[in-house]
Amino acid sequence: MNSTNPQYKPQALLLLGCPEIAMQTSLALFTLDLLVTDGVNTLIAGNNAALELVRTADPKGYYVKDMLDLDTAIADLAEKRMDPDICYVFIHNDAGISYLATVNALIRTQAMGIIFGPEAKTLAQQCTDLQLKNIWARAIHNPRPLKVKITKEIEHWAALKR
Amino acid sequence: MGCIEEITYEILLSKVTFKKCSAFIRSNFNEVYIIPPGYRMFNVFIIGVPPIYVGISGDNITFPYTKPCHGTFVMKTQSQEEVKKVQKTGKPVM
Repeated sequence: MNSTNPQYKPQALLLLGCPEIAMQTSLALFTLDLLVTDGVNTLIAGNNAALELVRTADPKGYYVKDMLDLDTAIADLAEKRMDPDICYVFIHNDAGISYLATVNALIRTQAMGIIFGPEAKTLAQQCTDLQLKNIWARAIHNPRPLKVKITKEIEHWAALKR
Repeated sequence: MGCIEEITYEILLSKVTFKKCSAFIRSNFNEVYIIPPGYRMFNVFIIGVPPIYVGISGDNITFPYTKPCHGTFVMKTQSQEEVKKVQKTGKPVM
């Protein structure tokens, strides 16, 4: 983030995990809306199925302006072609933790895990043990508990970047 | 950016946790190196929780490979070039 440049718009990356749990797409669009409303350029990355779910939810691209293949996003982060001010990684399985740890190691700032699904508590504890920042709720069908936490997290991050 | 399917490989462990893959590589090879997350190998970028272990045996290299929906695999392939690169740039595990 370059807060000394008045023209600078913060960049956020939303990294989607396996789309098996339907809530992920809704949470990603909700998070994206909060960030875009706050003036943050937001990019969504995921595998083909995860991005297709996003396209299906927002067919005319009212919300989602930029999407990127997951492997390309990791390559861009690893080779420093991209260095977002914040990266939110959506997690509901062990692979998600690996992606969070990787992104956290690759970006200048810290990445944050958004953890949901039946194993959320266990996964969150594993992230915390690895000193990976996260918010979590054992949400499977109803996203409300995580919506509240995501809203608070983004308000907090937005306040820090001002 | 490449695809893992471009190389010939053998799967030693399939669809397990990253922790299990790390323990497997750490305990089954005499020559082990630590690589950083996002390390480029065979034109793909390795995903994982540090420390990420890579095992070497002759010209064979064994490494973790994570997919979002299927967990982590331990893959073994032959590449003198990648073996040399890991030996040069990785951190040896004693």
